[in-house]
Amino acid sequence: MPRTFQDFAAENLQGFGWQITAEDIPEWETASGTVQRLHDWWGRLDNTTQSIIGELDIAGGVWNAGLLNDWPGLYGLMAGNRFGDFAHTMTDIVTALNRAHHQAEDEPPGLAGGTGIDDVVNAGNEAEQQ
Amino acid sequence: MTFQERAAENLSYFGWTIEPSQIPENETCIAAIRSLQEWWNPLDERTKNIVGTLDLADALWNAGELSKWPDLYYLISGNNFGTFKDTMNDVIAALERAANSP
Repeated sequence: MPRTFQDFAAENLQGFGWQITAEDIPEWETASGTVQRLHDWWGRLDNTTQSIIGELDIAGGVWNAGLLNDWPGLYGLMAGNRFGDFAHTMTDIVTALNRAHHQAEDEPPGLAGGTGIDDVVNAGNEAEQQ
Repeated sequence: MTFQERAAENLSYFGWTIEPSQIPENETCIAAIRSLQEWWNPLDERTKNIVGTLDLADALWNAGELSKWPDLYYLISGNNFGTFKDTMNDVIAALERAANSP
């Protein structure tokens, strides 16, 4: 089975110290969309506000505001500002997700769904038997 | 009674314990609160909802927003009235009443 975006993302996030499984991560489009909405909100704040609230744990606030509806598991990554403040924590999440997206794209497609090595081997065996 | 004594008394009605000596002159109180209003009021509603229930006292202190009236920290800390907005409105009400009392 080829490794999915979720597999790579979980592995990358675990590399940053988060405890998360692939099952807690949605498809790339959903994950990136959720992060983008947070980015859009954060990016519109003035520097003073970013400075004031940046070190606060705003996971509960963004949850209540519905910003995590599409990816509830992101709450667990944001809560506690693992990397000191919101901006750095989100940057590390985005880094892990973007890397996973590229890793999944680079995954050899031939291994998926029975079109890969196993089938080649099986096809070779069948040919020998004939 | 001085403004500070009246303000301390009014704030005590809301449940705060603060000494008159912890309250500056009315003009300084107004300037300190106006500074907070100038930050808070322009924020969009979504942001106010996200951060409004958080205890902003430390963050405001660190940002220098309480430098005009450092003891305002104790009034803001813990969001006595549930949200930053409601807490500040009660602080303002107590101060205005103190300022307008004969």
